[in-house]
Amino acid sequence: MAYLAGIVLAFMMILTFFDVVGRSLFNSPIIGSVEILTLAMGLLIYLGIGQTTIQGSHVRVDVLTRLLPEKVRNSLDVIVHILGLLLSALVFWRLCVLAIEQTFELNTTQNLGLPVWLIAILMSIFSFSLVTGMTVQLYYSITRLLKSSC
Amino acid sequence: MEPGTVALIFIGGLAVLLAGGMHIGFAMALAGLGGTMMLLSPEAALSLFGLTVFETALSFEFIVIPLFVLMGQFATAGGLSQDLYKAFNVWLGNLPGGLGLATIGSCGAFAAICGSSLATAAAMSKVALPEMQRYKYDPRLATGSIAAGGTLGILIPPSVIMVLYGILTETNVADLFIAGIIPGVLLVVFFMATIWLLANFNPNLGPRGPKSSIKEKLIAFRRVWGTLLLFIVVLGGIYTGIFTPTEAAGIGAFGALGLGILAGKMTKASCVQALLDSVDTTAMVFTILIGAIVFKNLIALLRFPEMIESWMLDLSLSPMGILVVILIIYILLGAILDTMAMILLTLPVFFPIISTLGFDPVWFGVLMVIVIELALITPPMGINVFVIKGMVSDVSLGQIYIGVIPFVIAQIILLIIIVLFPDLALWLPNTAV
Repeated sequence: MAYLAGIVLAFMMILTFFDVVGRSLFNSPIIGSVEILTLAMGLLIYLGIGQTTIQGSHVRVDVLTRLLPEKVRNSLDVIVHILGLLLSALVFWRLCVLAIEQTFELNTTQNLGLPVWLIAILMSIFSFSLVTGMTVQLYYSITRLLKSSC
Repeated sequence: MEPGTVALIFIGGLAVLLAGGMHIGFAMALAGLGGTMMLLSPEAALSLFGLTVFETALSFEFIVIPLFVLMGQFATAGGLSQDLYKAFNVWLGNLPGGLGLATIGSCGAFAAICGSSLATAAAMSKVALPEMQRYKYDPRLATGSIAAGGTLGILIPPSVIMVLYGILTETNVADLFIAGIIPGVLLVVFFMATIWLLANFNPNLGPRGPKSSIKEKLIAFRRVWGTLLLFIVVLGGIYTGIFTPTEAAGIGAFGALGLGILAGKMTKASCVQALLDSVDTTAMVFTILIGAIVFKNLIALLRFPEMIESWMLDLSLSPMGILVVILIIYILLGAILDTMAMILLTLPVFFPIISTLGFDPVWFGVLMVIVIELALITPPMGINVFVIKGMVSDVSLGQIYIGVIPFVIAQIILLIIIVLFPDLALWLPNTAV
């Protein structure tokens, strides 16, 4: 999925570049580039977020927790990841709800008529990777806690 | 529930979650969602949450972020930092503290094509640290100069922080970028003056490097023309209004890729890695961004800015007094919070006050960036210092913090100067088209 996200990002860069070059040098911009880019962005975020979560790249404040004894810190970590998993599940659920709404309305973009509903479905499916990522992190944190209490 | 009680529970709750080590974006989203559930109905709060999560990912104005991140990654992967350092070394290396001066110069130049302080510090420490160690530089001066030089990444445009500030406060990002140029150059000069003074005071801190002929100095220019051109195209395009910051970011990323390929240093693997790293950073930034917007919804529902505002007005301080109080709060917060979280979390509260008091939003943006730069190198959460610590094993964290002190002083002087003379930031954007 991260590779797919990389491809989407490269595509966004190339599209922007040729849009500007086309417009300023040949007076022919790529029509609807704004709409294409916006939809690509939605895919990029939810394609990437699972990997970011699994790698533990999300920023956290660890100034205070670093001062705590290992066991307390590890227990806190488990709680934090349970809450994180709960929130991830909420994100997935709400994106699914929106995807269903968008699909019923067959929502499209204004100029090109691109299928927003399809992107919404894909975003909701991809966002499940956030739930998976958090589950993996929760698993790690539980293992750490068990190890430290042994 | 009373708004006051909700504010107390959920803003306090957020502080607890953050202190407990929860991921910043998640903590903000959770507190924001919980609070809106109390104020509105759970159903309404959840659907507002869903819309925020959906629409933030699908908004055109944010596309500028991944593209500028990618530009910085390509610049790093293409080895541009190496060429910059070599060139500045030929030009400045022979002066007292010359390698340090070269470090600051090349950090400033790299900052002109990279919008992140972390990336600038990481890229430059790989090339500049070994060189300074070879010439027996004082480890404190060596690490301190890179940590400080790295912070230039967000003041000298492009700047991811300025983009976030611009979007959140509805301030023109192009104006912000242009406004960063003069303060950025000033800070480069201040940092260089700091090193020069230190090295003159005690030559052992930073011995002179090798001498190079005029011819070598001219040839070295060949190493930097590409970076210079890229900067001029990207910033020039924004300044003249030929293209928007988003378009500039796309062109910049493409250009940085091209330069790396031309220099023969960009391999297929490093190109793929740069893309993957950018995706990772983007998803990380957006998690915080989405969390901050969910939390901002709550803050707006609570009319929290009005609460703080009336409290601040009760203090019967002059507008300048209030500004100073806000800046001091930021410096304190910066010591414990991640910088991005700090601005996303506090701007919804402080920015309305700043605009009510009639301060220029572009000028305040530049001040914010300088305060954030300070936060990046001051303990206990000096992220730039952590990055450098990750690269050197034989210098302790404490040593690096000591090395950074002279540069912190230089930054504070810059902050005071920009507060006293707003035109230093505002003159250039006012001349733009």
